[in-house]
Amino acid sequence: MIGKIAHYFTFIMIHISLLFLVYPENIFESTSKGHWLPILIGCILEFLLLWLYLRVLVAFPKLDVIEIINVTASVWVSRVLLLPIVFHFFTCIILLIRSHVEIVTIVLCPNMPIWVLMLLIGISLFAALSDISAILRASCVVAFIFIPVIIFCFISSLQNIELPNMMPISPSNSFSFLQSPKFHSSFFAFGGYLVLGFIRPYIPLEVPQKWRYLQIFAIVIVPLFFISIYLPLLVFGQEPVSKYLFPMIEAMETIDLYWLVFERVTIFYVAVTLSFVIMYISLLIWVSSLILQKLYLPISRNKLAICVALVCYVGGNLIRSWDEIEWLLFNDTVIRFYSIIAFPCLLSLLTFIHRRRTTA
Amino acid sequence: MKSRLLLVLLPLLLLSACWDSKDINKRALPIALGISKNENHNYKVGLRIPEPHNSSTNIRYVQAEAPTIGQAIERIRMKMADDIDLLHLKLILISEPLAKEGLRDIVEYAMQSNSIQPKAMVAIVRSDMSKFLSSMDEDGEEAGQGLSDFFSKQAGWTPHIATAKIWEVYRALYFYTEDIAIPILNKDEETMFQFVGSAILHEKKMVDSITPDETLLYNIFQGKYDDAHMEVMNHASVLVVDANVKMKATGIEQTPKVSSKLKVVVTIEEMKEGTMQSVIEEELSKLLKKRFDLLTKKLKTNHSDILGFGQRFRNQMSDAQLKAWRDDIYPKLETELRVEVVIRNEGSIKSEIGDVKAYKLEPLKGRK
Amino acid sequence: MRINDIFPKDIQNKMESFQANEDFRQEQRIIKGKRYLFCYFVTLVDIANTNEAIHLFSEGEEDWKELLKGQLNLSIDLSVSDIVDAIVGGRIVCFMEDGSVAFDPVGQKISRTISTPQNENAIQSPTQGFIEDYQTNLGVLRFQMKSPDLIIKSYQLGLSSKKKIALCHIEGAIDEQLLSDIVDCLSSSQSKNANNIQQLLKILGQDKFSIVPTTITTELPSEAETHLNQGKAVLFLEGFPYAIVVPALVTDIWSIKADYNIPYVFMAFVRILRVFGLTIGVVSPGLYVAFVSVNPEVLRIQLALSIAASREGVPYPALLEVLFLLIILELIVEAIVRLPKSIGPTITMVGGVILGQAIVQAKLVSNMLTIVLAATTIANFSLNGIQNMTFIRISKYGILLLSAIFGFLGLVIGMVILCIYMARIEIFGIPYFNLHPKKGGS
Repeated sequence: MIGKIAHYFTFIMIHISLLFLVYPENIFESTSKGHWLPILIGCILEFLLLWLYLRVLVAFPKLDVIEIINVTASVWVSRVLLLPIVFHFFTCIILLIRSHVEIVTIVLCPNMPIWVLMLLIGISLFAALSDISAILRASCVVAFIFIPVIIFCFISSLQNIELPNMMPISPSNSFSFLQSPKFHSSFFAFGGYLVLGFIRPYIPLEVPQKWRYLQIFAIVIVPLFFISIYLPLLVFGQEPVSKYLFPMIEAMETIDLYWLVFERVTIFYVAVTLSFVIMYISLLIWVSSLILQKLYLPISRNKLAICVALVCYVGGNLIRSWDEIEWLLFNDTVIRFYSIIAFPCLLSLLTFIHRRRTTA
Repeated sequence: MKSRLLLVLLPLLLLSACWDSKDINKRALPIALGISKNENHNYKVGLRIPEPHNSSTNIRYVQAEAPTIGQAIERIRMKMADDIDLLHLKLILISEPLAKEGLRDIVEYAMQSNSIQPKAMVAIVRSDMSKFLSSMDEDGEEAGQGLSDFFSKQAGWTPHIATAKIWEVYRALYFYTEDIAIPILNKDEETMFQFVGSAILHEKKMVDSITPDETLLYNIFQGKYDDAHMEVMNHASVLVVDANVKMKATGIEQTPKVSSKLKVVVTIEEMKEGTMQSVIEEELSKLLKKRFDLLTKKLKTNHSDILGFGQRFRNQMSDAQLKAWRDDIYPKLETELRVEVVIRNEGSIKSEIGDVKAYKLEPLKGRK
Repeated sequence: MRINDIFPKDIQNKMESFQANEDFRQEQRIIKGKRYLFCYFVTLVDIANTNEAIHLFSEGEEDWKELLKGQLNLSIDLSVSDIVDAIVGGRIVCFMEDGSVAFDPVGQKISRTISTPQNENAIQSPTQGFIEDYQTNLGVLRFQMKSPDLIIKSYQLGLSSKKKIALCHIEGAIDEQLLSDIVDCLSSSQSKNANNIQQLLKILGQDKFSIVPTTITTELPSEAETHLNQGKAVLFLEGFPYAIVVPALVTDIWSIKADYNIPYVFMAFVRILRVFGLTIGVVSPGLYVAFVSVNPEVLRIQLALSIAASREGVPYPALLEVLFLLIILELIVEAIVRLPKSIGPTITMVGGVILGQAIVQAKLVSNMLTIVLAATTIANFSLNGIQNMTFIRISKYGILLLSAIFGFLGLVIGMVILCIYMARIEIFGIPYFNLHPKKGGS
């Protein structure tokens, strides 16, 4: 039962963990009206890329991305093509854990030193040391337990919304946000699908699953993107909301439910998103250690996983302030665009050439 | 095995490294924070701290003065045996002179510091702050709750009382098209305090105040009308059980105009003999219209858009117009109110004379 | 006749070492001129009733061995160890001039009769319980199942003490891989002792330090039946009045198979209750510590003040307060389990009423905590199976510790760790988190 649906839950969870972090802030920074347009552009882009990516994967049954490149081109090609991906995963891990640690110190435990909270990566490592199926199972159960909490948070924050706040709904004509670096940073939230290609041999992924993924993306994840922007927007309105570092968390702070024993829903929200992040990071550690093992360093995967976690732990500790997180997010843009946009295109190009060659 | 070791060692390491949490009984949990300024332009910050004991709760009032609010709280901290945890703060009180000087610093402080919850209420205090805060509740046991219950819909709130949470005030300070009314409290001899009206802001300062009756209108326009309230007129007094407003905004380019339609549902509590329903309807609508006209006039001169007219124009305005809304467009706004009164029933006693009803009940009337 | 007349020295030695036992008998009879020597334990054999069978010998048919093979489960051509096993196992060994035979006598009534289970209460379901006798248990199971697909295989494990283990499964329901894995484990460890469940688990290759129960035990044949039909394997250890079900799955924490004997909605209700119990049992001490010492802002001010008032004068941090009372509670539980029913209530009285009241009045713990921990304990025992309860009892300490450090965040982290830990567990390749005992599918 769990085995059949775990990867879908994981897929949703990955997006939740990416979504509510810096995405709202990025969008509010990049445009001041018609927010739906940048969201939609991002979503459509990811939808197309996901479709492209899954198409390639489905064409090669039982092979993961590494093997697909090995088959269609050569090991060296995959070594070159996947190196930026590994970097992307590393920065992803560092950014995710470090920024959530920052949020935790802001919201939950202001006195906690960063290096202690960074140890949370150890939990991801603990998961990453086991089989991928165990990670998927754990993610599924974590998602199953905690997604209701997130939904509860969303629903209860509806009490403060004011519909006119989303006006003006017409987007600015100039598409100026396309050049905004913040908009480029926002693509951080759209990279979650890459993982699917690497855990592929362990999850059922045939044509029906491919469509199911696309359906889930359109029905579950796209609304989540909209929620992450429109919820704070409807609560605060554009001008105030652009002043917040974490609009979503501020929106949660406004929740006041007299019948709830608990006064501060934010804590639940932050803790739950953090748990999702931990699970996503464990996936990322697993995947990066797998790539490293298959392509660069043929030693035991567990050792590599420990190394990855250590590097990310040290890397995260080197970041001293929120500005540096944003700096990293900004400077990661090239690699991110390569990984999210160029890589699936390259992959399908390779398979296309491979097809031509084999049929000819 | 390795991973299991990790699992065991991690918590132990953490426990030894950083276990500095303070237990709840070692924390003072202030419920109200009062801010005023002294002669030297220093902030005078006072905290009202309930101190629970097994049978009763005592109230403690502590205050300190410093150039900034944070510093003043730090000074209070130095005076107290327990740690101060502001996260349970329910009410932030600002003295009226200080509010007239400007609210920005206080609201920014409350939003920026993570130690205060953005959903704490804000109120302006007309009387002396320290006396106001140190006064006891009527019943000491509820000392912790009395303050917050006043603004709580589940307790003592009435539709005449404005409520303003910090995040709402913050939003109003930076939002182009909507303002907020902040309640003004005064010390009362019998109960702890009394609601005397609401402050309206312009340029992050309190500029004027409106009466409780006007606040009622504000609440109706904000869609916050709940509960019920009594309106007393010449010929009757009615209980307004529901009120809502529909607004229509037109003509942003030439003459901006908002026509509002207010629908009130009333039940009649008492009336003079022989009053017709139509008279009651007319009286009520006149009363509300008069109130509305006075209120909008006052608001327009003060550039404060608490009724949210600007929100209706949001979709029609350009960026420049949005910025200019409060200062340039809003004073020119034409407002119109139409009132529709629905008399739901006339209480438990049948009326004997009423225009519509009397007509229908003519045969019966004949018997009389 | 003396044994050494015919038999090698080692048998003779063995018999002499048996002679040291008070209940060992060597009985010589001469039937139709032939000498027979019967050796047995009188405590295991009802010799008076067995004599009837022995008389068959005297009829002196030439092919008596063939005749008796079916009737008395006669085994011939015995080796030394066979002889020893047979005697210890309650059979009679008969030495003759031309060899030795062992056969089943009428046994002494050693095991109790089938009655209601002692440690498992079933409501509105069959109340037969398994007993110590191995054969009877298998019989009870057969009686319960009435299925031609029920396959029972027997293994004998152990060096010093030989124990029989029966492996039961339903042909077609069980995962083939699972079955062959268990069979491999059992058949490759003939020389290992299986005197208790720990040893059995070791034979089955289970992790010694796992806090998650990888097998479940049940005393009820109907439970065993449902597990079998679900595709799990059931083991019977000789002398152990439980069926051991392999593998345990996460659903076993809250689902009792007897639930199927009540209407569906009621079943759903009680199961949801148990899931609540699970959550409360794991989470609530941690929640208390988190809210009292790290994140009090989550509590409503009224609640916060009343907890603060009740903790007034408690001289140590919340974590120690909780640990202190928890340990006392666990001790009470542990004490009551072992006490006879006549003394049990006294402990309840002393522990619950006197200690509970006094500990609050002495300001050693806050009265809020007593409520929280009482709720925890009650919730804990709403779960199915002693082992599952213990698992939850242990795991709450981890969450408690994390909550003391990180507050509510620690609680969530603890739950995530627990999830990961449980997700990692595979029993014979079947993930613990599976809802059905099927391989793969992950």
